[in-house]
Amino acid sequence: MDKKEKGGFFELIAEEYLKRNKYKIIERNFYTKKGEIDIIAEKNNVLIFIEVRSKKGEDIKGYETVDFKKKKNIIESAKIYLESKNLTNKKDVRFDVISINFNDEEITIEHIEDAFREE
Amino acid sequence: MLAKLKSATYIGIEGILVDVEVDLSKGLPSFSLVGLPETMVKESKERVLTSIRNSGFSLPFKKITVNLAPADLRKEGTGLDLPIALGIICASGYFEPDLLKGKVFLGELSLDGKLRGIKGILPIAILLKEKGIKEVILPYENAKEASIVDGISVYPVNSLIEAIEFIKGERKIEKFEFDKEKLFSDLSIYDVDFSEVKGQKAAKRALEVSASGGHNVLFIGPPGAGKTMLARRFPTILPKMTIDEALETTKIYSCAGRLPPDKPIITTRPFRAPHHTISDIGLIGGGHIPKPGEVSLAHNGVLFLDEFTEFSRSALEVLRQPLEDGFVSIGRAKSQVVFPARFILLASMNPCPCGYLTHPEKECTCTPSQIRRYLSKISGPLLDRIDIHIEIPPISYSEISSKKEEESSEKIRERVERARKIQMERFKNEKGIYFNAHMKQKHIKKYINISKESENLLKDAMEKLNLSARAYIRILKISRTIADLEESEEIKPNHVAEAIEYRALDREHWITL
Repeated sequence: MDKKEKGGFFELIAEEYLKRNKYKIIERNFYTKKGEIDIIAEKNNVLIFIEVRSKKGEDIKGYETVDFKKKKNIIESAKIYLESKNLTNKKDVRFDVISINFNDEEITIEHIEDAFREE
Repeated sequence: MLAKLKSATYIGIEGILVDVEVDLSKGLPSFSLVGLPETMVKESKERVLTSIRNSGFSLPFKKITVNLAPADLRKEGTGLDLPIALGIICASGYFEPDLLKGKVFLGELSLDGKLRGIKGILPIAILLKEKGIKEVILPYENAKEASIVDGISVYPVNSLIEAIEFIKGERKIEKFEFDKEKLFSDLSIYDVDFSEVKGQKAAKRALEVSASGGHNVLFIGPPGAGKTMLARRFPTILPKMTIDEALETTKIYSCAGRLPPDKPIITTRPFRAPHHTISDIGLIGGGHIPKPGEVSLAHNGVLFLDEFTEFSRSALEVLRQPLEDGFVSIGRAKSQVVFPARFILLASMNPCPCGYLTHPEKECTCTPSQIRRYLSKISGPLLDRIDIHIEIPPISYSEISSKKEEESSEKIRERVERARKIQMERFKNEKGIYFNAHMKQKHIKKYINISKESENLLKDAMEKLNLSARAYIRILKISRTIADLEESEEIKPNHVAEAIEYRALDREHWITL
């Protein structure tokens, strides 16, 4: 499994998890020149931009790898998405991180709601 | 959705009302604070958001905009945390905006949603009374201080949750009341007393004159003579603080964050004794956001400068404005504030670097030029503002071991209060003049009624002791106070004679060394 395939695999797991938790999936892998948004979903009338992060082992949690630059890219990409769908300032928005840790036996999923906001 | 509520903060020592407006709009979730917030207020963002979450509310997924009006005044202090948090919660729809009307909210939030006390409550409470705002909700720690002011209802709360429950009417909080009478009844209780000082009759008398007429005093004496001991007891013979004076002084302490936690009001005259290494800013006040200095903390009390000549020249020179005007005005790029600073200056110094120049037994080892340099630290204009200079001789064994009962502070204070009353009557039509020491040239002509005999004595003394014109005026003022102490309308020769005694530095042998 190369890096891209691996990413896609865990994004599928995240998507499955979201569906089970009554989220409506709107987009997968939305690309912009600022970067990529893994999943865009909706629940209770709030638009949610989700970053999926995976890490092998338990030493480092997936969510720890979302740094300032990544957050900024996600926020900028979200702005581009909202503009493209003509939704700017019309919808409540949230940024989540789904963090997946795995080893040979098991996979743990942690969902962090409202993980970060625009500074 | 928009929520509006009232809060307050302070600049210098004056309260200002602040309108807190919170707007939630759709968009990328963010928090912006506008309206010239200083660092302390800017940081409230993190405290507010975290304490809202930890109080069990979910933050709205919206763009949060907080405006602090009037937008052209700089806001400082942490008291705006509570109103900002309440505004966000209200705008998120947890309760009706109308419930916030007519109340003022103050308080700093901790991360778990509990409330902490803030500075500057008294000036804010005075402002609320002036503006006719009846209800204030604030942290428990501040309840006593706020309720000193009559006519406003103080509702203390412990946490953000309690505040919300109270606003929604789900929790009953009694209006905070405490026995104010008791607080003011112990105006002037000191733990030192003049009866503990043995001997030093002349110095005690000089302090009595100083307390009566508001004259500044300079003690000159060898080490160990009791200069500091006398100085510490000086506030005990000053007239009791009036309630207005107590409030004025408390305002300064409140904004400086110096109020003792168990005592919401300063009831005894302050005694400030800064170390001689103090900077001029520390003495006069200042800083990026101006804070009161020692002269203001000594307002309505005593500023004691021990080892007067060891203070830096610049620190001493800045004393001139407050000594003259009774206030300091501090200008900085960001703000201009005026702090009251009406105090009696009490300074003490040795007669020479080694300290023993005037000692009856010990030998002074200083050269005349050393002494001259030492004394020249105190400039003419500054000395000009010190009416009484008196030598403190070392105390003898027989005086220390004497069993004789010394006069208590209370007895002396009674005389001082009587003399002050006479002055109050005299200067009731003169603006800004409270004591004999404040008299200007025109008042001297008007109020100093000197007998022919005293006039002759003064003339003799001037010629024999080579006194300057400056000394002449000072002597007249001091004699006026001494006459007031004896409740005499006319200044008699013995009053003038005593006053001349209080001009040690004008006498020949000091200057010609």
